Amino acid sequence: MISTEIVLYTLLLSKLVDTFEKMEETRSRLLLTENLVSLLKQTECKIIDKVIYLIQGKLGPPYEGIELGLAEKMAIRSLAQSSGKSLTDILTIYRKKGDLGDTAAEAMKIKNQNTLFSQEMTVERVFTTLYKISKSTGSGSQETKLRLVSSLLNETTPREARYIMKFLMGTLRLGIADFTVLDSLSIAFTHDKANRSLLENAYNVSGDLGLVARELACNGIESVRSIQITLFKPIRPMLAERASSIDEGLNRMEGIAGAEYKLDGERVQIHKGKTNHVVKGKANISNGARVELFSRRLENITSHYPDVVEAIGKMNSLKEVIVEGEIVAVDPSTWEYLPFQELMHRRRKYGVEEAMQSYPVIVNIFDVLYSDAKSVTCYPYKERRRILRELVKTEGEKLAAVSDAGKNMEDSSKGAREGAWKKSETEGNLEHGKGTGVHGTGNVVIENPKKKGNVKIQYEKALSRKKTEPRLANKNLTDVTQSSSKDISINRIQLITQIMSSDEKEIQAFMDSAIAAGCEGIMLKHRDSVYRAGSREYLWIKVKREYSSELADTLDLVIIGALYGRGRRVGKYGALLLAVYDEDRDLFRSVSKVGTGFTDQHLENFYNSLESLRIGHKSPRVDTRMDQMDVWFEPKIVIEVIASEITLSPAHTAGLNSIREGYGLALRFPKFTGKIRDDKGPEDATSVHELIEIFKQQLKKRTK
Amino acid sequence: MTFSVSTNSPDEWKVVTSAISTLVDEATFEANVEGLLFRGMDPSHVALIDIHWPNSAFQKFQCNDSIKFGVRIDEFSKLIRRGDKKDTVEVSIGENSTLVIRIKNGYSREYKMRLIEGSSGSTPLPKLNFNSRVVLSSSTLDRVFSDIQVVSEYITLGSEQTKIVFTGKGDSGEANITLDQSSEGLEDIAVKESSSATYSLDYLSRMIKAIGSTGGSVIAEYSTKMPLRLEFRVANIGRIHFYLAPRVQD
Repeated sequence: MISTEIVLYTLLLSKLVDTFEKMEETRSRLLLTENLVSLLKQTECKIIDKVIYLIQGKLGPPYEGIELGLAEKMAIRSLAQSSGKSLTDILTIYRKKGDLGDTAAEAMKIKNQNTLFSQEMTVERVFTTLYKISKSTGSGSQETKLRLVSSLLNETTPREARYIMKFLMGTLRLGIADFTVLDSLSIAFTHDKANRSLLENAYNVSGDLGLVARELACNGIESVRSIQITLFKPIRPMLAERASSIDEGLNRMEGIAGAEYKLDGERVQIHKGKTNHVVKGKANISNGARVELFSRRLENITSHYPDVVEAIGKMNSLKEVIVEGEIVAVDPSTWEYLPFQELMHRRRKYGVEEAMQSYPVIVNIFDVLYSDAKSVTCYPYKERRRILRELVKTEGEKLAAVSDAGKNMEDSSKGAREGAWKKSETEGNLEHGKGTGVHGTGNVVIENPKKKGNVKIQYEKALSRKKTEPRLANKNLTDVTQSSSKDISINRIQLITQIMSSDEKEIQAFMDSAIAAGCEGIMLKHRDSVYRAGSREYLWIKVKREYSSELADTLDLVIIGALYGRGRRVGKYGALLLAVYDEDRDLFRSVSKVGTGFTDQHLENFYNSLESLRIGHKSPRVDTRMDQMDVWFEPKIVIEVIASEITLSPAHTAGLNSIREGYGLALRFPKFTGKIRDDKGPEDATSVHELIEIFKQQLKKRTK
Repeated sequence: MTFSVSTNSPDEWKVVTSAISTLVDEATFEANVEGLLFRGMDPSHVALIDIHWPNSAFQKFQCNDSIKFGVRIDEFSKLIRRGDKKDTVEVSIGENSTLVIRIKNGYSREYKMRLIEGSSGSTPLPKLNFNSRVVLSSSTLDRVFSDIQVVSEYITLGSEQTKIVFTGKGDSGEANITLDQSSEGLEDIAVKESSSATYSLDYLSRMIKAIGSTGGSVIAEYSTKMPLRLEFRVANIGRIHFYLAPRVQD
């Protein structure tokens, strides 16, 4: 019934371009769908996956990581070559048009080079050539790429060339969302929009729209039904709704929920299985197992985390599994959680080894989707959690011990973000008494669960027995840490901290400890919910902390340095380095860089007024560790800044060592209010003492 | 299936691989009882090379079937270049789809190279009628290209009854070269109809440099605003045809 409607010929590029042009003219989803349906019906089923990838500006499912993104220089060179115009001519057109696609259309209006055979360009040939371009690497690849690009440009019409260039540059943005594709597929091939949910499900478990489309177009709806979760193909993650309070969340959960720490890191889907080909030096092989990591957006991020791959490979309790977790950066000297931004240092192609040393990570596993060669997504949450506990018996690699840990811990009892996380882990131990000695090591995190059981489970018990008020641990923590040695070790792979509770107060206490540990908040999960790939429902609910800790007061800070701007801010300053005043030493100590809150007018004014204050080096009255500034100023101008909170930071020298050894204080999310405090001299700026005082106030508020 | 061929020097293969490498990275050869053939087009479809290497041009030629095999040209070329002028070279297809290259003289070297999947389709030849036919010595043509390249990236060939004019125009100026029957290097000229067409010097000079001094004379054939065909007759190889599509000139 379906196949009779598919025209069996190879789709021409001009046909695709017709559709693209129509799509660019409309914002109506209905019309977009209509256009797409008509295109899909004309497409031969064997290449329908390619068409689907192309309309989304891709060359495959996200996990294959095929990137086009031709360098601008290359694109311009190839345009010059194909059009016979000089580089200068092409640049002139580019400057006028502002877009390389339009530049291509203009430049190729007049053909300068004939070809031996003229054929109409097919979509298949475009796809294959683009694919070759994306795959060509190494020496000589630039020439190969140029040849391939010309092979397309030489034989396309100007309007086709426009889209070829957009594909190449990765700038094709038709706004065809996944759901529009799913709608169109169900209309084009099943005549029944009700089949959409079936398609959606297949997409959710395979993460590959092209595959779903091809199965449907070539083999029919029954074949789509058989698309299953497969190891090493990422599943679209289950998402959470939001609630503003625990109470609201609990109500939606029928009164009882699993509560988990919501860490500020990168969500990761970990696939582990047997490997058929052991390739030496390959990043994804560890201990004879193949491990692949996928991001929330299903990109393959395995190469960013060789340490995680290794640790997962070594965990013999994990055999053929798909688990989900949160990767969090930790401070290499204290193993404290670091904010999300720090993880970005790991998103790189080169220098991964060094980044691994400077920004170690740990993984907190929170769900299991596949185990024992079968999908467990249809199991209820509490059952999956049980399986998870079996799987993550942390016998994995331990991160090395830290020196001077006791000192740090002591400081942290006054400190902000570190304390409670460790506290919560420690409480379990405390519960079971110092008598057992907790190995006498001030073991702050799970260690050797075989002997002591999982600390987190102990925490669950501790809470349920209500013997401990979670918050009294500040004092206890100090006790413990004083007796602690220099030996803190943690497991790289651990189970997320979790409790199951129906008691709002209990969950509130849990959330407080989460926030004190540096979490964004908590996740509430329905006890009986299955894993609904790709869907966002009230089965999972995130409760984030309220930003009650937002600083009530503004700060008056002195400009001491600046970085040049980029993009729109070229020729002006992009960020200013700010300092507080240390009245004891008569020094300006850096506290933050600020780059937001400025209007263009501000930037203009700052640039001019700071000009006379420019000095060739750091002022002797300035103390900062931010040595990478483009420009230094005589400390003089005071501006008003607001921030969400004050945090500990090794990067700044304001209040250095006053809270914690080696750490100063810094601003989180600083923003210029627009006020220049002409009325204040630099010595009237916020002082170090004031800053420390505000920081302590903020702490009290949070742990009230 | 047997395929095993020998030449008395590596030069023939050097010419063939360098000519092919001006257009493509991966080459699919075809062999049958009569000889070895290669035909390939550059990805932009501007130029095409067609090589006919008959069995008689080899010192030894064994092939009992029609076969195709694909090689990465730069890898193949690297191995061939290990041979010195007086070495004999034997190329054969070995087990597990490898190409075996034996270079002998004094001592013998054996290389095995992995074959790649060849292209399945065959490249067609453009159907052309030529109004002008010019025979030149390859060294003269090489020099003419270099002369024009000083000022321009393109060369225009203008033929009349008894002479051919090569011109090039660039930002800096112009170049004009006239060859007639009295000129050294022009061996023959036959013009049915005066013809004028412009071609990319980039392609042309790469090709003539690849074939180099081994090519005795070159036959250049073309018509107005139509593709050019260069025919090289190379000792111990046979003929190499090179097709090039014209530039569009206003």
